[in-house]
Amino acid sequence: MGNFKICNYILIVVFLIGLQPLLLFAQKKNPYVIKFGEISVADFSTVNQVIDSGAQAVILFDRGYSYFRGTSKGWFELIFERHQKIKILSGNGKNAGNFSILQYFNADGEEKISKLKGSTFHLENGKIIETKLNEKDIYKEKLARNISVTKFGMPNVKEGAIIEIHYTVQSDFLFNLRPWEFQGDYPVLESEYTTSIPNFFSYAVIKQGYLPIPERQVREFVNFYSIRSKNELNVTGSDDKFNIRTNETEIRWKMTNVPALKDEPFITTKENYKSKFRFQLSDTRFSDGEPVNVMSTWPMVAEKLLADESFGLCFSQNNNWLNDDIKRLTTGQPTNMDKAKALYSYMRDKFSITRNNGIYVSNQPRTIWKEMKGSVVDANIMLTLLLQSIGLEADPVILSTRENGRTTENYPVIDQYNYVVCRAVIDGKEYFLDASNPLLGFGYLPLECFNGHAQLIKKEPRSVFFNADKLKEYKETQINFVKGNTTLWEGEIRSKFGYYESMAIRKKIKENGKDEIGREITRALPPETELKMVTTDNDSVLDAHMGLSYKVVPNYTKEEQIIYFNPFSGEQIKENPFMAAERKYPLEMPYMTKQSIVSKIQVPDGYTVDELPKMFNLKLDNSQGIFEYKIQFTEGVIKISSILEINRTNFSPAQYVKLRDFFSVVINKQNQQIVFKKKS
Amino acid sequence: MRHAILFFTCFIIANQGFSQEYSIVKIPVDLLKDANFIKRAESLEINIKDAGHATIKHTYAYTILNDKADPYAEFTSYYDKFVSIEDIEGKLFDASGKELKRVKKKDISDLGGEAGMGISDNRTKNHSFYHKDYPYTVEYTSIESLNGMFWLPGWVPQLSNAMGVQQSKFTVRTPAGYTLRYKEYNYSGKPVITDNNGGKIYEWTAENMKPQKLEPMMPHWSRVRAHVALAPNQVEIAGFKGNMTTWKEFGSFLYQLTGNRDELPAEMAMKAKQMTDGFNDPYKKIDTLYKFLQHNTRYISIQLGIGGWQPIPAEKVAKNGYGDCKALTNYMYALLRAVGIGSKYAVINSGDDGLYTDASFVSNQFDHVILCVPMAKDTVWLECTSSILPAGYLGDFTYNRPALLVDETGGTLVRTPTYRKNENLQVRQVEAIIEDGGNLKARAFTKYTGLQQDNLQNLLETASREDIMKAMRGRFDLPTYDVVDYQHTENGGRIPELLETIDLTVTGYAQVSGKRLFLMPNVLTRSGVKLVVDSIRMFDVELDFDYLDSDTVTIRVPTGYEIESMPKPIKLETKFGAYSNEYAYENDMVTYIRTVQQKHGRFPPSDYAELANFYQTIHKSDRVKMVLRKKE
Repeated sequence: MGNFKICNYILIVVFLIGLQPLLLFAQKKNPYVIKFGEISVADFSTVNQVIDSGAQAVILFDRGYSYFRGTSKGWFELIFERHQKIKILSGNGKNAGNFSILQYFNADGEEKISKLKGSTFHLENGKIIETKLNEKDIYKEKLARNISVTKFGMPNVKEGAIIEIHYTVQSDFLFNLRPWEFQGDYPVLESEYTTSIPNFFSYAVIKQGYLPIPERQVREFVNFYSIRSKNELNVTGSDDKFNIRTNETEIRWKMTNVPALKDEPFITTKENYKSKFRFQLSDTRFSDGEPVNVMSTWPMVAEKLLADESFGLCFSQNNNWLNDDIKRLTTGQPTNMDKAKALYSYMRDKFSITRNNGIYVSNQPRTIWKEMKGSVVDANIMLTLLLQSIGLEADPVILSTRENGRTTENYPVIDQYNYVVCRAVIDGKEYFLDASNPLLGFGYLPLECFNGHAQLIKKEPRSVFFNADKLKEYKETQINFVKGNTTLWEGEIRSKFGYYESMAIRKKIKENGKDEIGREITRALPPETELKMVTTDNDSVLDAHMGLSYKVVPNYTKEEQIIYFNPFSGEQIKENPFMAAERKYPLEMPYMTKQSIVSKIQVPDGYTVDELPKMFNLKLDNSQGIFEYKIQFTEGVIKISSILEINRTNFSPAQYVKLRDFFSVVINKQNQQIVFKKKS
Repeated sequence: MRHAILFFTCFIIANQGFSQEYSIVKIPVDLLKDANFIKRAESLEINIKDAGHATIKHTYAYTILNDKADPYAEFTSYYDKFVSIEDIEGKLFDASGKELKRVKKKDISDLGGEAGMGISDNRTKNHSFYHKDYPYTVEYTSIESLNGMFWLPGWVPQLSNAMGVQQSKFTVRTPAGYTLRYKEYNYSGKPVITDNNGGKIYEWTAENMKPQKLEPMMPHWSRVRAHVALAPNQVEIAGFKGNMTTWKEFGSFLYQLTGNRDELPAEMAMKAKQMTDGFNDPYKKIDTLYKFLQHNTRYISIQLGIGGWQPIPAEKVAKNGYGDCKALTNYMYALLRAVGIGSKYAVINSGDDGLYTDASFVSNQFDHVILCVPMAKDTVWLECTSSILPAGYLGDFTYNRPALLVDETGGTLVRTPTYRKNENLQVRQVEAIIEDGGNLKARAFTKYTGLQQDNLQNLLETASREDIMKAMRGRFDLPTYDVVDYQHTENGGRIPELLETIDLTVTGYAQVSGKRLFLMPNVLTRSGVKLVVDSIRMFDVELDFDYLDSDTVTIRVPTGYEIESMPKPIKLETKFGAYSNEYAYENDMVTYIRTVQQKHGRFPPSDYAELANFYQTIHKSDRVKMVLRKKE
């Protein structure tokens, strides 16, 4: 839709200045082109030392080329050519011969795939045998509302085969030049992407990756484009034709010996570490005219978003239709805070999430309100609108969830964002709200949102930050073992939880029932200990932190000669959360943590303490991790406390090893036992 | 005008009368206990026109009590070339039974396609009101027509254990001369059969079915719920006609669809001969060609039209090197035929569900195809979609169940092999040292056979070295450990054998205090099953397979310790299996020996407490610590 406006504008500019009625045809060729089907016997024997021995297939080369072409519809189109050669290294790599190419379409047009060819090559008795992909074995399916997919399996794929494919995608959607992933599931020996862009289009390049940045090679040259357009005024009915001469910049990026992208636990998403470029149209300029900024600064983006009918336009519309409902929902709520909470709870409890995220609403507010279903954005834009309607300052905040990857704060790239929350100011205090999660309390955001930079969208937009290292989760546990009537002890354990831990427990209760909490405790208890009673506090007060208490009886009779007693009764950590011995990427945890356990144990009558664990303190680099293990023994009561704090969320691969060792010491210490002996 | 008003009034009254039925006060109280939703009423009607055509009208109403039943509030219906959806209507009611919304077929979204590699023309119609005011009621009516059929839908009044059923009715109308076969499972009633213009009407009903709580180790819900299955005698699809009265006839019909698609390109037939000419042993030939298949093909699901039932011709598979289970099995059949070995296309029901395939009811219960190669003395089974299984071994995907062999003479029902206690082994030997600080260094040799090696073999064959090491580092229930080295060999065979050697170090495995050393002698093989006896058992207990585990552990400890607490040995023999362990300490060396065996079987609910106790003993005993004390 935005395209058409720019389109008309530029055509006028072209009319005024760029007109050159010459019979010049754009002569374009990718200077780096490799001929299809050029395979040598040597290709089959090459073994690259760089590729890890476990690789099941290797991409010998992957080449992409994006350039422009004039159309007969009075504008330009983007052409993307892809050429890949893949070698299958093991039987399990055969699926590298399966291809799915996604194509976008909407009412204005669709991305078309053409010139698709593929061949599989084998070496048999010193001869190269080629099996061609048959056109009949290419399938196309409609996948989702705007996406279709072209699928094909290459023929005759087996260990040792080399696969080669080539295709062209023709697209009218200039806004997004095809992104390029230098890295993927298989290692790549050579990955190369060339973009050739006439200077009247300017694209911002958003680069990411954990590997060194690709080599870059630039070439400037003069290019010619030919555009045709229907002219309704022309009585002969023939097309108008324009030839445009322009300077053009060609950039070629290249990476070699790229390892496969591997997943690791405790990272936001491996996508953040993938070597990848994305492109976004930032401005268009013709001749010496003023550049037309498409989207390049936050104020411009905010202005555009606020005027977009799928985003901010609903705020400036007449929303009187909401008045009766708002009155009904806020009746009896005296303060602004009470009203805001009532509206928030209403949205949270009644709205169904039925669609994927994005940052645009899927319907008019009126429809959203009536149907009470849609995406996260629908829910939170609606919430924003409700809060505005009772006179509060409320605005949307766009962000990228941890799983979706990081954003570039300094440069707005709209398709990096996949989530919208609401910021409201109530009685001078700022609150961030998300009505899309049925278990979330007022003023909390889900952990997924704590991914650093986010952008508040209003007339004067500004960056806001949701940082994981500003969150501290805790669990405080008090344990009391007193003398029992028939057994040696009866124990009571009480815990208080941080907010997100509380939420996780609520989720467990919701999904598997309250009994599940008891079953989980039972699984953690020492074998000789029996669980008696479990009670929870605040399990349905979503704004509050939860509490949990339970009673246990260690089954020791008064006849035992010697007792090995675990003071923490199953509350201690038993397994190291960091399983892998080494680490590739930094460790990214969702929050900082504090665990404190204080246990008091009465020495039973007729017994003496034969051995107690020793006091112990341990610190990890600059108190990033703290462990204090204390012990007191006075008046027949043993008091043991363990405090464990992790004071940051990101650790480098080198620090990871230290953190893992730190935990192994903590675990060993927390699992130590007290030895009681019967008095003789 | 007067008429219009009258009509209008009537409509309102009719509407009220109708909707009051869905008021929640009309739900019997005993159906609400443990329920997430209630089936208020259901009518499933199948009108069979002839062997190849039928219409299905399905109306049902669910009262959704809480959000756990939300998925059931959603309407989903599949269609393809042989099933078309004629009409759909949906209605939403509030707790009092007042109608809130209505939806028609044209407003219902159409979904299809897959992001993965599978290629199919199946699509679905999908709808939900996304209502959130509980309780609420949805009512859907759909009309489908079947064009070509060799199976008929069945009736399952109680879909889920968390569903209460007020009333459900199943009606089948058959034309004159049509024989309908049916079979009831966990259903004590009998159908009411009446004559209808030469044909018949069958009617089954169910009322007041209470929700049930699921229990650990019970048979799958689909095996304890009421179910009526149907089967036609005459079958017809895409111009193919046949009969299904006996397995033999059903096999003949399938052969029409699947047979004579086994022509190989001449050079491929030649190649098959060349590869196997050197062998006299037919098993060697089979093994060679099966490996050839595994190396040269891959599984891609392609289900388009009749292609959902008919294999892609062998010639095309030979060229492309991919296909689904039908295509790959048919291709393997063709390769064997080329070297003079006869084999049979075997249709089967895969996965856990297939263990319950009913041999006594001739019907299309199948979802998969494998190949059966009869030999002079025994039979070799081949799973042609797998690139990793040894020739002749099926694994838990298709073992121990009926399979229908299909050839030009018709069908024969046989059973696939099962694997017994001595074929499902895990024999482990651990040699370990405890260092002064309590760290443990160990080397473990383990032999796995049969079903006990399935998952591990799959991992070892499909993952990269790096991913294997990653899996090994998360495999054991140990505090902090590292796998220093991992080696394995596979001996293949009809009962495959896998040998592994793991070198590992465990940080702080033993707790060392001033005077004592606390040590768990069972390092790697601890049972994770902990059963709780918290209420009266309702369902049978089902143990799925036989196995035998045995462990021998030796641990060298630092010198200067004597035993303070030695765990007591255990020897337990039950109808579910046996468990034993023993301990020794001599010359700074701890020795621990453990065996567990499980017997498969189905046991009455009254046995559950004993079973729980059996597992409880194992769980506890596997975690017992030995305490050593410094010599004075």
